[in-house]
Formats: sequence, structure tokens, C-alpha cells
Amino acid sequence: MFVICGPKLSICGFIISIWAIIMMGLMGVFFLIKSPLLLEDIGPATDDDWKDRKKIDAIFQQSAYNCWVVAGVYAFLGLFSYFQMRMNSRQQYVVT
Amino acid sequence: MGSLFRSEEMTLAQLFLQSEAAYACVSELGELGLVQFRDLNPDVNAFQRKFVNEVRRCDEMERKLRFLEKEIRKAGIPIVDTGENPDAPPPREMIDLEATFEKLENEMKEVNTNQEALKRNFLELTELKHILRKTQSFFEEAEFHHQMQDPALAEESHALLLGDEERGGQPMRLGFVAGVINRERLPTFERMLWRACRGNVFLRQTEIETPLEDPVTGDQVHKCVFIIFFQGDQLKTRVKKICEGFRATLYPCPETPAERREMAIGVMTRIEDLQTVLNQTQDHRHRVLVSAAKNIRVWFIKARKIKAIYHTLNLFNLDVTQKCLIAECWCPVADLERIQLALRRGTEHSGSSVPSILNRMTTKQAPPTYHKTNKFTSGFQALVDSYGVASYCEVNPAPFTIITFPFLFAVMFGDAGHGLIMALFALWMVWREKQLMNQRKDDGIWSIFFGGRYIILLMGAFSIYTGFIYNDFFSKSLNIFGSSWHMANISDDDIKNNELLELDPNVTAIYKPASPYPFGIDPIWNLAENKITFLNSFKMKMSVTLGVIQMSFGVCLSLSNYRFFKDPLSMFSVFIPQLMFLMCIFGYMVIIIFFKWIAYDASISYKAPSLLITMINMFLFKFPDSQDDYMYSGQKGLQIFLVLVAVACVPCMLFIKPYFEWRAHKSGKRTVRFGTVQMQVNGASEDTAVIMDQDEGEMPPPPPEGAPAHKEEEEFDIGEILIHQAIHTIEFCLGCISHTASYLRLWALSLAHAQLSEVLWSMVLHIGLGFKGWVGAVVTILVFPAFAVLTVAILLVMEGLSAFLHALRLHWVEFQSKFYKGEGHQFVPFSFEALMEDHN
Repeated sequence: MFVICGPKLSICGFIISIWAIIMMGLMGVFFLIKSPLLLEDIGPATDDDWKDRKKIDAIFQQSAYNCWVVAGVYAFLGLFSYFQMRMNSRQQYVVT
Repeated sequence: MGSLFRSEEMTLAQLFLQSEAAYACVSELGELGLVQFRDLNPDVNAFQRKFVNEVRRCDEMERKLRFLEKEIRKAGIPIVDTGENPDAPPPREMIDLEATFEKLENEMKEVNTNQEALKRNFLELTELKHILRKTQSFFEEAEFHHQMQDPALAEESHALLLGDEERGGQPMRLGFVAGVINRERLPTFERMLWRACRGNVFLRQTEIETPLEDPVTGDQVHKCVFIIFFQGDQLKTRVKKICEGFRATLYPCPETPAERREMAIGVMTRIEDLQTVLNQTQDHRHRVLVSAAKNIRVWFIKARKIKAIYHTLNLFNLDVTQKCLIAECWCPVADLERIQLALRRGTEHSGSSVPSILNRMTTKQAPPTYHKTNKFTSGFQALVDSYGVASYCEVNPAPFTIITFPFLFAVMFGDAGHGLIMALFALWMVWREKQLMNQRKDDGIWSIFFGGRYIILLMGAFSIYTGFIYNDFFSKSLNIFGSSWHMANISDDDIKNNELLELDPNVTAIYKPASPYPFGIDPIWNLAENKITFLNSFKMKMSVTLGVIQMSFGVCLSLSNYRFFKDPLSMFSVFIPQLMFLMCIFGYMVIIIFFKWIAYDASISYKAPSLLITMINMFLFKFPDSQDDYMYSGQKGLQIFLVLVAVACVPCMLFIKPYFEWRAHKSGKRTVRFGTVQMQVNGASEDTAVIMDQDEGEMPPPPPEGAPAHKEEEEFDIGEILIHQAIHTIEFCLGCISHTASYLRLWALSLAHAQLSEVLWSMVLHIGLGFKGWVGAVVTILVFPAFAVLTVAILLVMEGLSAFLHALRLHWVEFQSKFYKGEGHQFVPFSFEALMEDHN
């Protein structure tokens, strides 16, 4: 495989990815159970939406899926950074 | 007592070392690192001491080693660090070492000069090679032009110069010089030539593509070949001078092509020969350096140890008979055994038959302060020491700081999410401690973080705890146990038609007082409009409560000091009034804070009095008229009594101590009470140190007649003592008020932290989540790194730093001012380990 990121960038990306996976995964769960605290953070809703509970529920669910999509993308990024990290450390072995 | 509570008991000791054994003994003591030597000849300057020569030789050795190290680094050879720690070699080995270093250095120098000469030679030849090659093209060009223009030119000149016999119709004889110049000098060189020769010279130049190596510095230099054509000797000298001025090197260049070709061939063969010689020199040099690199660390350690030993020996006194050296040193009493053992080992090593003797001495000097710390406590001790090193045997705030410091930090930094990240970071540092310790010691900021890893770990752990108390997790609350507020009695219509809804705790369906949220703040408050009002009241009261507890604990610690230094007068005239004053005002305030929390529930909360007004009225003796407005019966009487007691404490603090001191002075027996205090203050009579008996059964013998001279110096001045006491009293009383207010920073910073993290959430992550449909996911992916980086940079590092500084201030000013003097001096033992760390 080829090396794109340097050692620092790949470690940074790896840590942020782990953070994102955990946090976004959990937030997806919280959106799914319709935590009232996250009411302000759901996607945009018109005044009509607020009158209908089902619509709000649907927006909540959409937000939950969004969070999991983010977590999934970061899982890929995390894997990528992990392999970059491996490559970097292997290169270091070769040099010294 | 080997604890952190008070510093180690120290003693001054006198060492008698046989002059043969002295070196070995000091070497052993250096390995042990428990002894601080005193300079016994402070008047003698560095050049007149006994072992100057040895120290100078060691300096010389170190210089040679540094030279070698520099060469090794320049050659890019890794220096082997085996972590080996050799003992200081015996003095006779020093000559061997010196000889080795001398030989190596000379060899290195010789190789270097040879190499430099060879390289210069090589450079000259390469330049010449380039000149010959480049000028070839110039000449060819000239030839070509000549052929093209010659017939016409010749005719013309013939026509013009027919009568001119002296020129004889010959073309003008042009002279030329060729050379090499640095590329960056070329433009100015060209201009200079043009101006100085008024445009009468012709310069051609081309660049040499491959950079050449400068033989002295070893840098890569870009150069240019040039050739200058001119006419006449005058111009020739001028051109040569300019070349000299610009440090251009000129080379002889034959005029005919055949000669040039011949020369080029000669140059090529010489370059080849030189190259092989150069390679061999390079190889040899490399071999020498590689073998040196294997040993250089060990040599450095040895040389430094020898130097340290001789430097220490220079501090000693020579006996009259020159047979033994006398040293004085501070050492911890608990470790006397180990020191004795080390001395015995040293004596055996040197093969001396006469043992070294260690005698304890009594002295009037203040001993140095020595706290035995480990890797966990040393960070906290450093926090205390950076305010001031504890006076000898004073109560050390460090053991309490271990808990209170991270706790107060966490009160200001209360967010479980941020605490978790901080704790994980510290945990990683603790986990990889050994590997990290060996790497990158040089980095400044990193070493600060790494040195405080246990502090950061505790700070993170406590922040998680306070985060759960505040129920803040990246500014969001967790509803772990289920909120105890319920949306009963509220219809869907109410929800649809109102922006805000009011939840009345008096309605039992909405709030059940019997089952509050079991741990921390109820998460419902995160949705409430009046969240900040509610939290402010809670956090302010909590801050003041914590502050008063910590301050009164500090006052109580002063009691321990008075008892240890046997100062019952201060116990009664300072400690008790101080504690009474603090308790009567602020202790009472804390009690009514709790009383108000307990006594007033939601149903009668409208009747609850304002605590601030109550406290102000307490001092103004203003009381409400109706019995209903009192918090409890008898409040009026108790409050008046408390204020009177607090006021009465002030004159007690002011006058009792000076009065008793004055009376004791009159009856002339004040020494007993102040014995310990004097011991710390007086530093004048250094020479009155007296040897104490080896077996500690008896009291030390009385000081000789000359000693008590210092007693006359301290004149008893009642005015001065009164002023001193007044300052202390005023400082304490005003301090109590201002320090209590100062603890409100706990509330202020925790509010700031909570608000900032909320702002970050709503400004960054909220935007990402707020987009419609799947766009939200895409934007969130882009926004999340910004959220993460800002969280770490602003909330963790910046806010953490500010909370750290405020926690530090609360400890240094508010807590330690109650009992801590911090006027001691640090115990700096003679230790090889510390020495090596300094050099790394």
C-alpha cells in the first residue's frame, strides 16, 4: 500500500475517528429513543411539522440514521488511518 | 517519620576521610545521593583549591569528548545508548582515559586536516575540469565567428589600416582569464567589471550544474565558470584585482585547443587518483568514529563523575597533618545507616585500613528541607515548592494538595466528557511511562505535560465525577435514573399552543419530593429556561461551602505547626481566635446555607429569606419585626452573640501574644519558648557548630563560650512586635472575607466552562445535525473534526489551563496562607543521578 498521511496526521485521524464512532454511534441511539434533550438538534421542522407528532418522530429517526452514517464513514476513515499508521511505523523500521 | 507530612529530620554531620579513601568514599556517596556537602573554604577562590588540576584535566577530557561527539553527529553515526551506568573509575584509570582521548583527538584532527587538504585539492581539480570543459565551448564559438566574419573584417581592416604599419594588419591580440565564482556573487561581479573597465571587457559565463562541496564547512555550493576577454596589461591587472576581491579562483587555461585537451586528460587522471585516496580517508575516519560512538556515552559519564568527585573534594578542609580530609554535610537522620554503609564500602574499595568517621553535629543553622517523594507525589510537591520551599519541619501542604487540587480543578472543569478525554490522555502517559520517558526529553511543553501526568490523571478522574454531579456530558445531560419531574396534567393542546410550560413542584403528580433524582442535578434542568438561575444558586453556595471548609482546615493545620514547634502561646493567642472568628462568621453562613436547603421545601419556599441580606443584617443588628420572617427561633440572640464573639476575637489576636512576650522578656526567660524559632531565623553563627556524641543517649554538650553572642543582637522592641501582630491580624480578618469571596471563582469558572461547551455544541455540531435529510450526515462528517479539534484546543487545553491556574491560586493564596510559611531552602544532595539528568 502507499503512504499518503504522515505519522502525526494518521494518528490524529485515527483518534478523531474513534471518538467520532463512539460519540456518533451513541448519539444515533439517543436520537432513536427520541431523547427530549436532543429536540433542538434534530433536522429542520416547519410549524406544521411541530403540530404532528409522527412527522417529528420521522425527523428524529432521520437524525439517528444520519448519526450512524457519520459513524460508518468515520469507521472507514479510522481503518484507513490505522493502515497508514502501520505503514508509517513500518517505514520507520526500514530507515533506522 | 518517612511521610510527606513534614520534611525529613536533617542533621549536620562531619566526615573524616583518609586522603587515600576520600575519592572512593565520595564516589559511593554520589551513587547514594543522600548527602549535601557544605563548602568549607568559601573564601578560597576556584584556582587556589587543592584539586584544581584534576578538575582542569576533567574539563579537558570533556572538551575532547564533546569534540568527538560533534564529529560523530556530523558524520551521522548513531550514538549507542545502552543505559549502562558505570561507577566512577579509580583515579589511576583517569590517566588511561586521558591517553585514549588524547590519541583519538589527535587522530581525528590529523584525519580532518588531511581530508580537508585532499578535498581542497579535489575541489580545485574539479573546478579546473569544469573550466576546461566550459571554455571549450566559448572558444569554439569564437572560432566559428572568426571564420564567419574574418574575410570581411580582414578586408575592412586592411582597407582601414593600410598605412598603419605598427599593427601590421594583425587582428587585435586579446588576452583572457578563466575562473570560477560563487553563483550568488556573479551579478555584482559582472556589474563591477563593467563599471571598473568601462565596458572594455567581455565576460562569458555558464553555470556548473552539479553543486560542489566546500572543503572547510562541508556545505554544498553552486558555482559558475566565467571567462573574461580583455585587451592590454593594464586591464589585465585590473580584472585580476576584481577577481581577487570577489574571491573568484582563477585557473591557468592554455590557449591552444591541443594543450587544453592534453591538460583535461591530465586533470581527469589526477581526479581519479584523488578520489580513491579520499575514499580511503573517509573509510578510515568512519571506522574511528564508529568505534568511538560505541563508548562515548560511557566515557562521558565517567569523565563527569570524576569531575564531580574532585569538585566535591575541593569543598573539603584539609587536616593539619594532611592525612585526612574533613567534610561537613547535611543528611537525613533516617538514612545515616546507609551513609555509614556507603562510607565503609568506599574505604574497603580504596584498600585503606583506617575507617572513615561520621560525626553528628549540632548547629544553629536552619537545616535544608527534604521531602522524600516518589513519581506520584513529586508532581504535587513541585506545585507546592514553586510557591515556596517549606520551612524546616513545617507542615507540608502537598499530601492534602493531592486530593484538593484535582478536586477544586474539577469543580471548575465539571464536564464528564472533557474529563474522560483528559483522563484517557493521562492514562496513556502513565501506561507508556517507561517508553515515553526514554524518548524526547528535550521538548519543553511535552515534558511539562509528562511531568504532571499523575496530576492530569487525577484532574481528569475528578472532572468525570463532578461532570456527573453537574450532569454535564459535552454540555448535554444524561438521564440515567429517570427524571423525577413528570409531564402530568399537561394536555397536548397546552404543548401545541405554548412556547414555554411551567412545571410546578408543588403538584405531586409533576414532582414527587420523596423521590428526587438520586445523583447529581436532575437532567430536566437542561431543558429549563431558568437553568442558569438555578445552577448559579447551587454552585455559588457550593463554592463558598468548599472554601470555608478548606480555609478552616488550613487554620487547623497551623495548630499542628504550633504543637510541633512547642509554641503554646500562639496556640491560644492566634489559633483559637482565628478559628473562632472564621467559624462565627463564615462557619455560621455555611450552616444556614444547609439549614435553608433542608428547612424550606417547595411549598414554603416563597417565605425563605435571602441569605445575603440575612448576613448583612446580622452585622448591622437589624432584625425583622415579625416572628415569621426568622429562620428559626432564637436566631436573633444567636446572631448577636456570634457577631460579638467574632469582634472580640480581633483584640485577642492583636494583644495577647505581644503582651505575654513582653512579660516573658521582662522576667528574662524567653529563650525556652523561642528556641526553635530562633534556630530558624539565625544564620550568623555558622561556625558554632558542635560535634554531637555518636551515641545519642545524652544531650548535646553546651555550646562554647563564644556562641551566645547572637542573643544580644535581637533587641526586644515591643513596638515592632505590635506592628507585626497588627499586620497579621488585619491580614487574617480581611483575608477571611476576601478569600471567601475569592472561592466564588469556582462557580464563575464552572459556569464559564459549561456555557462555552454549550456554545461550541450549538455553533458547530448543531449546525451539522440541523440539515434536512441525508445532507445532515454529509455536513456532520465535515463538521465533526472541527468540533473535536475545538473541543480539545479551547475546552480542554485553554479552559483546563485557566482552571489549573485558578486552582493553583486557591491553594497558594487562600489555603496555604493560613498555615504555611515557605521560607526553607531545598535539600540538594550530591548525586550522580541528578548530574546525569541535568546533562541530558
